Amino acid sequence: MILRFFFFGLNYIYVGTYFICPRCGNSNPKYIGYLNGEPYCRFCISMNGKEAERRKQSKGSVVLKLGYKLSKEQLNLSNQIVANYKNNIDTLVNAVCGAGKTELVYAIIAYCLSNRKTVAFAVPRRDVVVELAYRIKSAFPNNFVVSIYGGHTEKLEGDIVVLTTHQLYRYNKYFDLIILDEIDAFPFKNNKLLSKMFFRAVRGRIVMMSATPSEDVINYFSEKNRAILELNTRFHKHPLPVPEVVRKIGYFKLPYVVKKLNEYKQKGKKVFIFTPTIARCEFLYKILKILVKNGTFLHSHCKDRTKKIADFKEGKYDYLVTTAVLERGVTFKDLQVIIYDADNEIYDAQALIQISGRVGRKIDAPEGEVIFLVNKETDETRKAISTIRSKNRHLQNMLQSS
Amino acid sequence: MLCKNPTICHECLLKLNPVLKSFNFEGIECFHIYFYTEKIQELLYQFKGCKDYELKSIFLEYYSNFLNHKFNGYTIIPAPSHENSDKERGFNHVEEIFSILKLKTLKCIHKTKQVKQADLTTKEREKIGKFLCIDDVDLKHKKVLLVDDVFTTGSTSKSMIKLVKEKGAKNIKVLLMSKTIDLEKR
Repeated sequence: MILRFFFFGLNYIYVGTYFICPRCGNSNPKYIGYLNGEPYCRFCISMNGKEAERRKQSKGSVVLKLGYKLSKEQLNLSNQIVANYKNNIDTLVNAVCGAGKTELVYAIIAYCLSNRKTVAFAVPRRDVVVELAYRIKSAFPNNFVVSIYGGHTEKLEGDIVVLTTHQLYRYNKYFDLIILDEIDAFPFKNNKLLSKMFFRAVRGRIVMMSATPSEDVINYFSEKNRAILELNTRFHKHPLPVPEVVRKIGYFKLPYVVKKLNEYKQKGKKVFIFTPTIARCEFLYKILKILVKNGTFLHSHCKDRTKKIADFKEGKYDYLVTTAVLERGVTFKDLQVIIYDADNEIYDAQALIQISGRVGRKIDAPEGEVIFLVNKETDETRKAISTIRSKNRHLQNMLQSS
Repeated sequence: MLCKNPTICHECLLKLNPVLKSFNFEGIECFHIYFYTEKIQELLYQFKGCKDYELKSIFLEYYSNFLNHKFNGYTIIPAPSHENSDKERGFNHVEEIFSILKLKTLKCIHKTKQVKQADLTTKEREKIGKFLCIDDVDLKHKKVLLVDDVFTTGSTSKSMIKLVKEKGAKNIKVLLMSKTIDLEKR
């Protein structure tokens, strides 16, 4: 059989009768459509838009401004990441929730910027991008930080680009360094298209960060020229809060939640209540608002999400009924967490660990309560609790030895 | 009424929620197949904006046999879009959606100015009739079916009906793919 290679412009590549998408590499005939006789890819069709142009990095000194000092372990790790970058090694940072992962990579961002290289910080969640861009802006006041997410895509070029993983298709072999946080979060996890777009945007090295990496990722990073770095303690060296499992059947959960909310209200603490679905979230809030005043609900279909989160930070609300949108990447001071229906099948162990990692993230309030409200204990809840306990044992060993 | 070789699966069809309903507009019987929900909006954007040509037949497929019988003998006149936007897209979206009906199509109404209706207010939309013109065709004693993709205030359909009536069409009916939910009822 003779394979013929035809090249039509730069857009289409034919190999025999097959068509391979030049953008996402898809060759599955199920995902190929024909318009006026010309094939086009339907796999990545949702990602059409303006692509970024190359831009020279702005001159000027890079100033890293941090209001606090990193701990000994953090400094050690961030130096290792820079050393890995210099030796052309990709890195996976496996650190517990609240270990200060974002602070770990400031050193490498500063190193890249001073060498006038392009840096991107990608996160799957949109709310996280907004918060992260603000934090990075205050850490690097001399540099031009751009945040890009759905509905906010006017400027595409900057010194540091903070973006959602969905927007990575705008860059083709563009970045010398991409930092990808929360690799196991919803849209990016197990999504072939997004991971293809991610590797398409890279020109240099990658740094991935996660609190709960899956086995595939660990296998990928245990190959040659890739390294895994671990950090098992939070920066304030207090143990992770261990979840408490409370068994209540059906609607008997409601009086328990009300009792707990009143308890926390007297102490002046804020509460997150996590629910599995949007419908449940609204339903639970409808009942709770009669019994306990001063709360709201928040899910991905709310239009004034950013405003509600800002209001909650200011302290206008006492409790917030929410879904998995606030599962990761958000930091509130002195927070308590109740997971309503923690035995629901949408929660796996990783998600449960992430949610309980919202608690006790600040030095002022390093402890807090996590409650799993369940009908019945499942494997996932048991697994989550046992992993948290094992990380705490690591901490104890370290404290004893030092 | 069901199609023999469907290109859309049953579960996806239920999400689209087809409801063939009739309503009276300017004394003329109009039909619409969907309400303009978020799902329809999304799909229509993928078809029009992202140029996903393969989606052309999924909208009308469920009712295609029924509509073929109901409008037997009618000629389709599609709502116009400007030549340049058609060239840019590579196809005319209204024609392609309704091409699944095996009726004659007569493309006799044209648009002279490129306007995006979604950006306009209700008052500005009423002036849309100025930009429409009709070829010199004989429609006397003909059954005419006017088709469009989205019906919001009805200004396009109104001006199209007016143009067709001037040419002496006898029996006029309007078929719309989707209609925004009535503002009066809210």
